[in-house]
Amino acid sequence: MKAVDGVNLEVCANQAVGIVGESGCGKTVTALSIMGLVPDPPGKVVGGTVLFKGKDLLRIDTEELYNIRGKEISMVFQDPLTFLNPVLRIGDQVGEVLRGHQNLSRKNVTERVIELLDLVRIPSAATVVDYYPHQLSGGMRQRVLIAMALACNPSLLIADEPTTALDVSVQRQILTLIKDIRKRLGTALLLITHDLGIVAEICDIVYVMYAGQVVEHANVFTLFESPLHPYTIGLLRSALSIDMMKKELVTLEGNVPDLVNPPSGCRFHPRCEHAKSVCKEKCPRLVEVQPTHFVRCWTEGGE
Amino acid sequence: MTFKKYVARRTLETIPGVLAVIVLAFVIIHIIPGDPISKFVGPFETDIQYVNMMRERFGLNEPLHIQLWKYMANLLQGEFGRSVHGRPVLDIIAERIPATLMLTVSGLVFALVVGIFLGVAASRKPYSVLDSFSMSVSIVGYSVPVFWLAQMLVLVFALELGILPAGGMTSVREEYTGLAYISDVAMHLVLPALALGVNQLALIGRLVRSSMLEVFREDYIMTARSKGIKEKVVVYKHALRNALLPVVTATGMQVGYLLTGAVLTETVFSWPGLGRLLYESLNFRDYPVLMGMFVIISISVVLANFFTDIVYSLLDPRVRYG
Amino acid sequence: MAVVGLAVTVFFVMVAFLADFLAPFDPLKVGVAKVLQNPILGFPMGSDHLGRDILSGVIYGARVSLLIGFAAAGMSALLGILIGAISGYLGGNVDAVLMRITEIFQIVPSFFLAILLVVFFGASVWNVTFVIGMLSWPRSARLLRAEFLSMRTKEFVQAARSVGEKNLFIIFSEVLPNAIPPVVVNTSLEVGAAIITEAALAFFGLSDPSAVSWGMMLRNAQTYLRQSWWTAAFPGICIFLLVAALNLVGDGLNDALNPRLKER
Repeated sequence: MKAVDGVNLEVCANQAVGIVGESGCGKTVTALSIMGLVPDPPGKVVGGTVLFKGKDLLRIDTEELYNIRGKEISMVFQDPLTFLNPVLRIGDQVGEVLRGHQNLSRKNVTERVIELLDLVRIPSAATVVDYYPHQLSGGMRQRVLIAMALACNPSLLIADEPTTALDVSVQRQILTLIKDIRKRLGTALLLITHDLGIVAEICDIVYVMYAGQVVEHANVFTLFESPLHPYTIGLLRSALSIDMMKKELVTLEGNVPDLVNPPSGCRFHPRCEHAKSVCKEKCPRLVEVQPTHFVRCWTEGGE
Repeated sequence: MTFKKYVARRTLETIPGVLAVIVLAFVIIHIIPGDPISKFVGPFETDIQYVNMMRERFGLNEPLHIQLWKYMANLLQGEFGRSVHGRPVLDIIAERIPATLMLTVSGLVFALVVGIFLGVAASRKPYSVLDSFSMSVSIVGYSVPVFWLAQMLVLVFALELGILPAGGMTSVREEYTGLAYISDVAMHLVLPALALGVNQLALIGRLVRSSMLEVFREDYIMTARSKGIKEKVVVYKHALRNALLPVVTATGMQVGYLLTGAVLTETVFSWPGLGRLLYESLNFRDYPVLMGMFVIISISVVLANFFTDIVYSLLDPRVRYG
Repeated sequence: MAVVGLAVTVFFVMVAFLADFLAPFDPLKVGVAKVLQNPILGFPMGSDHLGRDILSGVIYGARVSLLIGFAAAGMSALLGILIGAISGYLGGNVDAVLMRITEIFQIVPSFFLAILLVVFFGASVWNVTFVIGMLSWPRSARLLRAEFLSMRTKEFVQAARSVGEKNLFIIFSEVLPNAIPPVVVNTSLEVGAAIITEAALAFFGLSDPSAVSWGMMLRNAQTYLRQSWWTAAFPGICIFLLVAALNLVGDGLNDALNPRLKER
């Protein structure tokens, strides 16, 4: 089963790129594969390259990869409760990144950790350093994850659904925090989410994924103003209907396809109201129908 | 709940356990064929005066509930009756405890150290040929009767190869002091501790392996790896510390079996502990000592469980800092 | 591996069955060989300090071990199922009391309790079997009770109840089939444990003097270990092989019957 099939992704320095899609569309796997974190077994990277600052991350040796992880590229995960080690103190877990990549004295590490906790706006940072994860609230824990990711000032921050597990009000705080940090540190961001609202706020470029493939990508304004792929249009419609509190919730018909036996031709055709006979037979390629706006669809500009 | 409260609560919960043991011993004394007095003075006691005094002491002429009360009170004051050889039961048992403790702890430490090491190693290459093999080996290790293993070890290492002593805690011919004494005892401790530890080692190894495999699937391991931390550190610092928690609990539950093994091993090695005492008491029909040993060993197991709980709560910050 | 275990177990069972034909001598007969004869033709496992043939002892010992092992495990299973079922089904006060009693038996180290009981009640094959069986029921009882408790709330029991089916019928047709596999696995492991317990008791002198037990042979061997390795090696290795085989079978049963619990 191919969780990710032929995905091409590009993130430029200081840019914020978002990957949007329903659960199971392969966005997390895409993100994990960048740093070689796909669990093997049961997963496996079978092809492709990951170019970072001129090097293919899939082919460098382990020493170098360890150097890049946490230092040049780092990741923030979804559920801060399960993604923090319950038996280690916060200060220890954040400090680890520093100790692993920089040669600082013990005292300096502690100082820097407190600095980082301050940066992510955790109150009483000096006390929190000695706490264990279960003693903090969900929002606090997520901030800790962000602090850990920023410790060595990475060039790229990958955030996998960073706000999904949080309360709405806390979500807002975390988003503001992320925006601030981007402004201050200039870190590039790869944001993975199913929430179009977040994408609209933070991202410069958006990729829409469906069933392991990219079906559309463009800069954020273009995508929201003139979406082309039926799936994207459907997503926007249902998101907006919630926002505008319409009487009827507009949803996309059908279910996410089984990736072991994907639909023939275009993977979206069973759910598409514009499906033609060619859609069932051949899978469309990703085509640039307007400058920097790519779509994978027979109706909208495929060949 | 704060740590102090937790300790207090566990202490309170342990008391019924101790009392239950005493009540059980009391029940046994009375349902067993024969005059209950023989459980306090032995079956051959001829001094009538002494016998009557003990009858008085344990209230054997009075109704059952008074007897139970007197029994408990006596036990808690250390009065267990007298051995057939004439000495107070508690004294005899108490002087054997250190040797047994030394052996039991050594065996456990050996089992833990080797078991954890092997379990971690197996968990890093799961489902490999080596792994399946070690799983079968662990079943074998768990099945070997400890007293037979002890005998075989004596045969091979002591009698055939002559590199380790065949029995006892100290060399009979020499009188060592200080460091020489310690090393002499240590030499005598090697084979018994080895024999004792094998059963537990197999269990611990298995448990550590499966616990580690579970922990490796946890999300925080992914976080650790994404930070660029070396794999060795991930395994030992992040994974093992979490994986050991159930091992602590399981070890606590095994204390009873560990003591059983110790007692059997001591018999083979003439180790001067409770095991030898048990063997001799059975030969001499020394009922008071047998009853006393039962009560003390059972209470020790209850207390060991209590301590294991406390150790666990110290290790798991979620319990300690509630 | 489990198949190997099964084969070895069957081997021992056959030996025990055919003991009368296989054993060259009466194992208890004194002086059939020279005292402490080392293994030679005619006495392939040597003789003990009273000139008794070790090979015959080993063969007949299989009988005692298997008999006591299976009987005690069976008894413990029956007792455990009964108590667990009553406790799980009736619940409430009955359950509370039974569980307290079960706890007491689990806390107290069973070997020492067994020693006491056998010392005072006498060491006959029947007694030893009874004592061992009596002390291992807590595990089975807990397993069964847990199944009952979880079944109680499960939908299909409630559905059956609502249709008016009699309680007993529900128990037999719905609840028991699910509860049996873990109990079977547990019992198969209990057989090995029972055999070791019996041998350990015999090692302490608490075995039926008229029945040859491997543990008893090891006890006798202890004094003469220096001169005669064969008196300890052969009986002991049989205990080891039989118990290991039974445990392998138990493990195999576990993999087969509890696929959900099996690690991926």
